[in-house]
Amino acid sequence: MSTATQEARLPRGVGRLTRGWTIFILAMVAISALGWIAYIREFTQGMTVTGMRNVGTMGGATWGLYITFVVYFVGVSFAGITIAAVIRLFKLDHLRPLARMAEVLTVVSLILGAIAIVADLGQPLRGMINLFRYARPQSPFFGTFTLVISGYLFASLVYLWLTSRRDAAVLAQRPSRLRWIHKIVAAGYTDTPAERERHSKTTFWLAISILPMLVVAHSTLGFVFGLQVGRPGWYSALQAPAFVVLAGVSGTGVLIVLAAIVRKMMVRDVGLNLQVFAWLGRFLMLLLFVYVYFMVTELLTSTYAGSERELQVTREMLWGEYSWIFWSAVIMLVIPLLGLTIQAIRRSWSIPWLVVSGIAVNLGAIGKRYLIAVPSQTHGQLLPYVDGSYTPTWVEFAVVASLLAFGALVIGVFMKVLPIVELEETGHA
Amino acid sequence: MRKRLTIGMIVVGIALMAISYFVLSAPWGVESVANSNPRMQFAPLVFVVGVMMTFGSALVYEMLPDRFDRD
Repeated sequence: MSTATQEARLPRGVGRLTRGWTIFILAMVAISALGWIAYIREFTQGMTVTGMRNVGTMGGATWGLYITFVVYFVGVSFAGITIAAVIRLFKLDHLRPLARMAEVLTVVSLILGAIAIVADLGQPLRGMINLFRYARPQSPFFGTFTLVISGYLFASLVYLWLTSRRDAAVLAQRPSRLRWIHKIVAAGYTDTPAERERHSKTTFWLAISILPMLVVAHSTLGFVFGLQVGRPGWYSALQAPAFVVLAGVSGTGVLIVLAAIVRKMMVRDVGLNLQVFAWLGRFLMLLLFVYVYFMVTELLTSTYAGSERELQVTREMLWGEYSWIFWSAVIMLVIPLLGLTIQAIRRSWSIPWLVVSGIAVNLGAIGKRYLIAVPSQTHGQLLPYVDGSYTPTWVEFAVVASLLAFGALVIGVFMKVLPIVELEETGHA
Repeated sequence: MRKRLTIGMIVVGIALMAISYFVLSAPWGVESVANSNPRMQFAPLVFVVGVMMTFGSALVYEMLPDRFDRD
């Protein structure tokens, strides 16, 4: 039997390169390459090729599209590892098909977040060295890169690897071109009772330690904005919790879309049934309710009792330059919320509607992240500068598009190397 | 042996984080310029190593070969 025929037997479509998948991967490589061209231009010619300018003196914003997406990507990572950890901690076996893709989503989005930070630095190497050299632990930036980027990413990678070992061991027993990779990932795992027990203990304790860390990590990212007393629109006690909740909204939305794609791709039933999507829908609905509550509270406080500059930032968002982004984001969050609520009341869930909701809440979340980052810089001046403006250039759009493409590329390749949905436990590997 | 190594790594990792945070990094306070600079350069790197060591203990616990259990 040829290797190709044998590979066709690998479960979950592993190693099976279809024409659609190849075209998808080539498209993602092409978009990623465009981003590299844009980034090389930024690196060689400086930040002047972007739309970012100094706050105040140059009437611009120093945090623009890149920081918007740093916050967005880190947010997406939240739901992934949360759902994966909750599934393992509370033994929610019917949700098990989601666990692996949730873990992959977390790792990929954290890597994208880290790359987006690098893209935002004019001199990335200098920035990276100096953070490790001089960063103050009192600063939220310290927490962001120690907890979010290094700790959280490292912990998630460890978690993903350990939970993938059993499947890799199963696949390593079958002849295929990928066998050497499966052997490396399995790293000697043979699925003995002792190994299973150790694995169960390890993932339990990892899940327990990751959950509080990720709340701290996401709050820290919120504090980067929320603790800046001199920046109207940012300084708020609600920033940190709202960051955590919106992170959950965007991450769950992406997970719904990813789960629907995987369900469509798999020839056999892998357990991604309506019950799983209904759980995700209810989780998304709950998070959206909390976030909309935060949003209304924040707006009410800033318009009712805010300072003059605080009011100006809010006015720009509600009726000024940024109003189209604000109202679009509100629509993208509220309409899915209504749709999900109706489905929950009727106890009848529609996967296409859930996918549309997942995409919509992500567009809304990106809009909200943009509104958190930019208007306070262009219109939240405490010093007597004229109001500024910020328009991203094609370089920034290309870099961000390439990051999204790179993320899709990594997930696409992962699906063909290891099962994106865990294999059923059928005795020893 | 497996448990001892794992617990050892967790303890050393947390100790590194604590030492880096409270002893080696910039002191708490806003009064002086001395509060801006770390007492030891690359103290944050020590913190990151501590975080990685703590979570890396999971790898040691799970992946150490069985023969280490007999010690």
